[in-house]
Amino acid sequence: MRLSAAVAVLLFAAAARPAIAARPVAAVAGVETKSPRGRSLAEMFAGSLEAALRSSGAFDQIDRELLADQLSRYGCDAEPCQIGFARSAGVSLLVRGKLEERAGGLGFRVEAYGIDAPYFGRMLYRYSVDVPAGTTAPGAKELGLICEEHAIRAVAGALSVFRIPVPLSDDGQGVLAVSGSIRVKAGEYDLFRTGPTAPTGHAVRVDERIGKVRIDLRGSVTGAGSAGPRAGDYVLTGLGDDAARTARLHRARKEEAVFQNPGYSDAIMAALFSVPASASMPLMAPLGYYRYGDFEGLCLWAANAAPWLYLEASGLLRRPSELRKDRRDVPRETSARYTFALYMLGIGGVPLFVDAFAHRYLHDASLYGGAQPVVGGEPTAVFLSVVSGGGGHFYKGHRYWGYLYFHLNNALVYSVLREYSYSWRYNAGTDSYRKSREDEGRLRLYLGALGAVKVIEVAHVLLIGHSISAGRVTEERFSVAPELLYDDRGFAPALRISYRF
Amino acid sequence: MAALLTLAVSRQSSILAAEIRVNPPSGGVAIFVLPVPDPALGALSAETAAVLREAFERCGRLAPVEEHRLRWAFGGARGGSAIDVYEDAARRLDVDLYMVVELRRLGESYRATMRSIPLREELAAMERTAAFESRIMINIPQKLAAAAVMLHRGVPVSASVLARLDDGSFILGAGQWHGVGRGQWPVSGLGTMEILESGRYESVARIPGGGPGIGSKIIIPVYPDVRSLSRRYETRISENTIARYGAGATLLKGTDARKRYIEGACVINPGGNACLPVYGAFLATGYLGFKDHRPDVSGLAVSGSVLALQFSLVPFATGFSARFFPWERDGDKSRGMQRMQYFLWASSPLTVSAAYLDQLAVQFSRSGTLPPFFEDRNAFAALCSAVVPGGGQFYKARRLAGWGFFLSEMSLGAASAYYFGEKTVGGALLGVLGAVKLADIAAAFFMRAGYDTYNRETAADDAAPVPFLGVRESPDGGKITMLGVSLHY
Repeated sequence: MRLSAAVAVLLFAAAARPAIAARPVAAVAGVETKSPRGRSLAEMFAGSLEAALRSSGAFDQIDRELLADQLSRYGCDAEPCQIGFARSAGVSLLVRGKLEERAGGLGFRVEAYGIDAPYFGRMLYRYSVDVPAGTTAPGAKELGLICEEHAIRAVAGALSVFRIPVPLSDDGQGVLAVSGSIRVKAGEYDLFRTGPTAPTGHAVRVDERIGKVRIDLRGSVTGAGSAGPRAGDYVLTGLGDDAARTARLHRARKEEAVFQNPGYSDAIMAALFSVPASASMPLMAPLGYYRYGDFEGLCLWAANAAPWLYLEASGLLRRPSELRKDRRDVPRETSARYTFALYMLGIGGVPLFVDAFAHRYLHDASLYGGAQPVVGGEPTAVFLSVVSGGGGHFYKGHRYWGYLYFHLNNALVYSVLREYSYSWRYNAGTDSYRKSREDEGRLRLYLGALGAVKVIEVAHVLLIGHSISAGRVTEERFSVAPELLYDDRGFAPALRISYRF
Repeated sequence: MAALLTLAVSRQSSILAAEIRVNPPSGGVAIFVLPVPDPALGALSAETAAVLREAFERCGRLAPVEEHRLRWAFGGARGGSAIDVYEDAARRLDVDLYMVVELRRLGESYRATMRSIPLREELAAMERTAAFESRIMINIPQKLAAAAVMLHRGVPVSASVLARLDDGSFILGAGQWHGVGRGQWPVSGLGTMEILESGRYESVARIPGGGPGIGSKIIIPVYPDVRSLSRRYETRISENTIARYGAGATLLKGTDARKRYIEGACVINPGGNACLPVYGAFLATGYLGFKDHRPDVSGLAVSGSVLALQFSLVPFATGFSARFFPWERDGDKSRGMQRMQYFLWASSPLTVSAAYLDQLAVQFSRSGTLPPFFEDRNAFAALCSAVVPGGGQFYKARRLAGWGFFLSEMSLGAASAYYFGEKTVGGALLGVLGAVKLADIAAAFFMRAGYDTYNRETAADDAAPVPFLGVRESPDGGKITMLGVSLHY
């Protein structure tokens, strides 16, 4: 029979190595595309998904080309049919992809289905990314790299949520242990007992959670509490560690490839050029945004820089020395504005200068557009975060975090300077000035707050990576976003936490 | 193994529909796209079928029948007319609904006719015939998909009891695909149902008191979010339209259209107006690559009149006795008058900018192209209105509204400057000016663009009535002022 041959061939790959029988099986059911042009790219993406699954080391795989051939031969291109096939073939994790070519760019979609308990065919993860069409289309090499990046991220994401049942077996001496070659970390697990088998033709059943068990390093059940485990019961374990490691490794490799010379030399250059960069920011930043066609950046710059540039200009135009020359009082505000203007000239403008240029370099780096100069250095990010507000975040491409720290930092610096500054009162009788200052309690408070913000900012910038993801991930399993809701009672601010399936 | 066995065996003979179903969520939907001899339309047919299938998949109510099953059904279908053949095939497949799509080319545009015919009484509301036209081939599948999604408005989950289990629970033919999962669900006529475990297409459920028997239908009043699903297709249509008619793809190929637009507004237009006031605004539009462009005289007349008024209002108001320049004050020029003159002179760049944006609206409309930044049109229009009074309306080709806001804000600005010294009147005027400005920005953001090229492609199938106000040229050369409500049906 042809079918026997087909099944035998399909399962041959899964039986090629000694320990394979006990390992879960994964399958990539192809990448769908609607345009003939996209077929080669879809094929490349499917290959990348397969390679990413293989590199996770957690699964045995059904040969993708063979599987694709069988599925297309029997017209099994729809989701219900493929899930049914996966169940029949003993597949635990089924991955389907889709590639969309649109006017706005490329869209990569990946959907992962868990076939065994506790999913019973449910989609457990969806990854969706839009790679915008830039002014120049990426070449074949870059597209291959983009496919690889998203395949690795999608597989890592799917495996981070995927759980597989590992049954307990009796070793013959009354000791229960997890069976098979799936590594189960030592710890406490929920124990499940398989429910009544569903009637023929139906896959879903209700498994009962009967309690908790403790499993030691050798995989033996050491503590069962009130669970009363027996052979055939199972625990759920994850397989995401290796995939996450692969994703981290891939990211490190990408950073090596797309950043030219990240290191201390860049930080020294940044230190040397920070004063001229800061002083020229009001002119150079808009030119930089314009040069690179970053109009979103330009608008954000205009809206966010305006109040601080106003303070800077006002401080420089109404200098205390000019007032004193005219024998006029110098309010504390005026002194503070002047000092703040010096701060903005010297270092305060650096973050926005950095944003105008780094954003473009990082964008090119994200799409594998060659090794980028200046960006990518951790010491530079730390230096910029220490000396300026949000500089490190802008440098790493996190614009909105950068603006948050920029405003917070500037507000605190200005408050400190205001508390620190003297007011000068002119005494016409003695033709001299008398200086005075407010109490120092608030100065210490603002200084403390500024110090705390700096510590948080530097720690934060060290924790986050460079924003070099190729495209924008639009759908993952969970997303959190602020939202403004409207109903009969008016607008209400809300936080949307969504779960996609 | 069994499913695969069925697949392999059935390949040998003809594939029977019942054999290859894998946990069917319902009888499903059969999508028939009529065959066409034109190869381009053939490719469009394949894409249409795929996009429609995806639309039904996303709605989670009727599972699309796979292609090989359609072929099998056609193999044995009988009927007098073409429509009878499709109905017969649909009945052989035992589907709940079938859809027949016909694609045609009409000169430069493409036309699609879609008929959806339910075979189940409870889906009677899904019966519909609709026609769509587009000059952009790839918009046809998207328009059909958006319409198919809207068919699902108010369609609840209708699931069969597939099997009964010993403990009183039962297998229900609905799962994650339909939008239901573990938990309590209301059930029409049966109170509450508890879903104990769910798969992709099936669940194990329990209803207190036992629940209905095998084959019974359970209606769960959960509805697909058709608005957000159809918005997805509308976004695609919009993207395709901008990619086809955007200035970057038509007038300014090979250059950064956005930069040209900014340069035109900030450098070329002020320079042009410095050389030739008002008419320079029209000449500056040439920088954006319009071929054979002609000035719009009404727009130039309005902007010319406003500009002339800005420089002559104070001399006229003082009987030409006051000094001409605003910085020169004399006894005939009060402080309020001087402030107003400063305002009028200082705001003259806004007038020439409004004139430029107005001329651009005309040129883009005439050339059937779309301005740069159109993909972010709402935010950009709001930005334009924040900078130039009525600028966002001009950007969206709503010229009458643009001039309305421009004249209102300029008059209020001049009056505010004049009465600035008088606290009550000046403050009230400034308050009104602020309110009008906010209304201007908000209207620019929310107003639908007035470009026919774009609206023809993106007109929503089920859009609510939209009020409109505008001026357009009549074929005999005159102007038609329009005020009304448009309603798609």
